[in-house]
Amino acid sequence: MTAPVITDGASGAPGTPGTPGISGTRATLRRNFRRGVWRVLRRKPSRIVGVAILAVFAFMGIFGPLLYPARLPRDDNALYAAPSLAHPFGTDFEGTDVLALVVTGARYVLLTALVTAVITVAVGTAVGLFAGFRRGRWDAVLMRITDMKLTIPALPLLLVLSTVWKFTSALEMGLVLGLLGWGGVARAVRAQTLSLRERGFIEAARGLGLSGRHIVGRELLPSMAPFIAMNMLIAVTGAVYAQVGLFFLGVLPFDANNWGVMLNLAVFGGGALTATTALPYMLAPLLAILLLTLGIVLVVDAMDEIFNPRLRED
Amino acid sequence: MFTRSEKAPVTPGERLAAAVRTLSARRTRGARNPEGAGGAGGTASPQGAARSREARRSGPPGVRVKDLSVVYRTSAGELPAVSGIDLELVPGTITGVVGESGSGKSTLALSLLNAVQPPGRIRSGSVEIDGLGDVVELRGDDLRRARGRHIGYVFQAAQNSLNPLKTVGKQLLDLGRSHDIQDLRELVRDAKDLLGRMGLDGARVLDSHQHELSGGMRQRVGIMFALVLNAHLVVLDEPTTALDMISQATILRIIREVHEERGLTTLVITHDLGVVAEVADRLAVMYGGRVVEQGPTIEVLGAPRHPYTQGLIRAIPRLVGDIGEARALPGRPPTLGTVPSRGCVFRERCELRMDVCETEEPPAVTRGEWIVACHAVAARHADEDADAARAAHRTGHAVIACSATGADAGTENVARAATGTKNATGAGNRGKNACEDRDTVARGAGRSAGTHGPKEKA
Amino acid sequence: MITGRGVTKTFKQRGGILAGREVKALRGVDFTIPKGGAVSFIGESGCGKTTLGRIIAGLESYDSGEIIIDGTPMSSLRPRQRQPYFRRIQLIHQDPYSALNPTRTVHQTLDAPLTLRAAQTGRSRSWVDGRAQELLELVGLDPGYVLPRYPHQLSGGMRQRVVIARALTVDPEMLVADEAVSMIDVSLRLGILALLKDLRERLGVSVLFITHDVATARYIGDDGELYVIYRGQVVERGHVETIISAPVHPYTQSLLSAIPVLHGLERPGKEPVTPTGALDESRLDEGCLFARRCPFRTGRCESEQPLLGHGGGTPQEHACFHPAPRNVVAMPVGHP
Repeated sequence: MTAPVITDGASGAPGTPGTPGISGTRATLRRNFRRGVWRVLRRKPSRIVGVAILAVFAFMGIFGPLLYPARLPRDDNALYAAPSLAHPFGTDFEGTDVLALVVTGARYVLLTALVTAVITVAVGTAVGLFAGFRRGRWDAVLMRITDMKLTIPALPLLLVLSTVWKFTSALEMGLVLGLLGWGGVARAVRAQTLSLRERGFIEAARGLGLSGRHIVGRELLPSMAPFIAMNMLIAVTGAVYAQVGLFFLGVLPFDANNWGVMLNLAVFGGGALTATTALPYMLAPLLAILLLTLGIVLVVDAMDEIFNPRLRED
Repeated sequence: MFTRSEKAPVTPGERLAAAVRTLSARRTRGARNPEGAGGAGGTASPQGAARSREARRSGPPGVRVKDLSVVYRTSAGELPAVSGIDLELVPGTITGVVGESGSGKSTLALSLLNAVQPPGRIRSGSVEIDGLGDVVELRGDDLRRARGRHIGYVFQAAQNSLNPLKTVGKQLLDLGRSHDIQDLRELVRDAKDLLGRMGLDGARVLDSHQHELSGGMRQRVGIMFALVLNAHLVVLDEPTTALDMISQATILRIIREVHEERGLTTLVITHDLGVVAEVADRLAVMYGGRVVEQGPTIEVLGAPRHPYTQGLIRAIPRLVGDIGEARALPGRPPTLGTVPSRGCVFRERCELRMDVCETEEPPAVTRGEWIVACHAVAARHADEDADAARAAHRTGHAVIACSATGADAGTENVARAATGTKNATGAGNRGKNACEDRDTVARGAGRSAGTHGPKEKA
Repeated sequence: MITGRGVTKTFKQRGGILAGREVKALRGVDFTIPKGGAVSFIGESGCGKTTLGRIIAGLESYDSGEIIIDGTPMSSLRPRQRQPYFRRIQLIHQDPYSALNPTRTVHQTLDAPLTLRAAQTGRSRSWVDGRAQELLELVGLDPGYVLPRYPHQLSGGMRQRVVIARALTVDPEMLVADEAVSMIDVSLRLGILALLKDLRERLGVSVLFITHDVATARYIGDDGELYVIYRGQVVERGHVETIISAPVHPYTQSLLSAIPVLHGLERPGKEPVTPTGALDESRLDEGCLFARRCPFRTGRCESEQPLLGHGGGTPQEHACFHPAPRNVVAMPVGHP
């Protein structure tokens, strides 16, 4: 072996995490990542709260409907009942427990929001990355398409679409909303890509002859991970608002219960904005949305630190 | 100093100045420095105003840093960035502080302004500035007033301290307003004059935004901002980083000239030995949060005693001479987390390392104006002084403290070199031979040498 | 190994006040870098030396002129065909931190190009790990310590060594070091310089060193050539030691005069040259480009453009009508 040249000294710095042997294998990297994530979350109690809230909603979404019979019980004797121990948020116009409605309605809302967010971010990132990395003609074409899409007003389009196609299932709804909303993410990702591609390590990767696929997938994407994660979470909140709002306005077709529908029925059916009888019926879903948003916001704060090794290890 | 032209304002800069003229109520020059509570902000203390009056009357301020310690809070506890520093800035001199990353030099500079931000804080010690008192004690408006008015600070890579959205002229006015300057057009005039002295077209620069100026121009603007409020203590943090050699030489020349003209006390912080060599009368070398050697620049460079200083000089490739002479320093500079808490911070890379270096903080050995913190040097001096005392006792002569280290071969050259260099105000002893009676040195300097920190006297 | 003839590059300023204005970064530069040789480009910031370095490394296009690598002119090849040639020339950036992906460990950083290399040369997976260790040791790092670490956990000097190790993964014939040590602590710089020198001796790679610090250029190749570049033109070119001891072009003399003197250890040169005039803002293109700042200019300098040659019988080439060697370099105290 060749004798080493003047060395820099290899005195280790205290506080470095327990590092594995010479070849940092994938498994050890993943383990360190998990440990790092836990450390980041522990740094601020608000993040743990956020995670807890999201866990509750996830539970609600997955197991919620299983906790109740398929057809929620009606109680004709307790229409628009006031909050009580049996009905913490009162009942609706059919006498069904509002809390049960919120819990069972969660699945639809969450699933739709998730699908929307995934599609928005996936399509937007792909378009943005490609346009930003390739530049030139591809960039111009893709950005033109994005601009056109951004100028299309979503609401009228949804109205028109809903007359032709009843996209009532969560997946269909998610797809439609997702395809309408990727424009912003595309632009933002493109901007990030353009600035990152001038960085030394990207240039070095090109100089070394690494493939475009490698550069985009292994160099650019991980560097943008915090950005993408944050966008994903924010897209979820946006999607929740979008669909709840649209259901509330009565624009979208529905066949099952969800929070937006509850709001619509509470306000337009029960006059919740004018009288107090249906107030808990309206407040319950609103509270749910608020809590979900809170949970997401608290967790978003941790994203930057989780995906940036420098901040993660510190 | 300059004449005011009465032609109609043409450039936006001049129009601005004209507008300012109509706004300013008081036109007297004295109005620039409001006395007492009259023109000053409501919360300024009378002591603060009295101090600023005092500062204006006397000449350049001296600065005495005593036992300063600054710590940063990290997940591993509070780590020291600067430990027990003693430093004196003699009034009217340019002092250079040299250090690599992690040496604490920037923290030291910030401490002079009491501007250390959380998670850092000044844990102990004092920074006494003539006319201001202990800066560490100042708070609120007194502190704000001190900065800018008494202490001018030129930031590292001045482009980062300029607002990219405003023109230079607007920022100048902001500065003046926040310091309650009444006669703003006077301020603008002074600024233009300063810029002119530095070789720039004042009016044009005032109209420009940050991105329209080159690196060298931005640095000059930074210097102008630090000086325009007539501060007499100026701190320059890495004033020539990111500048090429010729621009650097020009900026250093400007610093020297402005320093002499205005009778300032200047502190230059840098990692570049060349910069301090060209500009500073006194030099302090920092490592790991401590000052390891300080003294007249010519002495420290010509005959360095501390092994770090010696190693640093040796590690710089020179233009002339044998290439093989340059030798790297093994190891690397400590970071906040790796600075040893006991013993000498340099011991890992030191070739003169002894057992005592592991456990004891090295004492500061003083010879006239030169101070070194090193066990090896201390040991050597203890031996010499003991010999000298014995010799003096035998011959009845006065004790002469002489540093008889191997580096003395350079002292003769030191004397020869000194004659060729420029003089700065108050530099006094720079050219003197290191091998000299301590009392003579102290007298000649006209100030108390070696009155700070623990010393070892023979 | 690589030769350039009449390389020209012009940048167009887009947007802002200077929109539409052209900046001539390079004005017909000729150069030759032999195999295993050491060449340095020195000059102020903005003189075009970095641009030229990037063109040589294949990261930047040029507007006119010719680049010939190992006898093959690049203009005769299609862009995709040129890549393997330029891959033999690797660039070491100034900022070691941005040159490494902060989200990947050193192991991951070295893995990608080595895997590619293994595929190209028909080697196995196990070779990749071994080679990574070999290269890290070659640059003076401890593989066990460095491989699992992220860039921010290493010192500046170590990061730059990792960058050099990465550049070596493709077995280059030339390394272009663009201000490779200016962002590294002073006490660590010599280590990197010594490493480059050592690589040159051991592996026979040529080194193109771009800097504004002439002393570092001299350290890497005191047997090499020095090009002094001003505003996109070569104004002096020749053997490093010759130019340092007897520079003839006033710009070179200004550069060397501007080097800070370590008073106490050195004394200044006897005839330092300082460029005259305020900042060179109006960029005229007539005559000698340096004339406006040159303290020795004559009428001829402002109207005629001097060409690179051995005018006046100087050992080095220069572009000046009135070359005159001057004592500008600081000498160690005690030197005659």
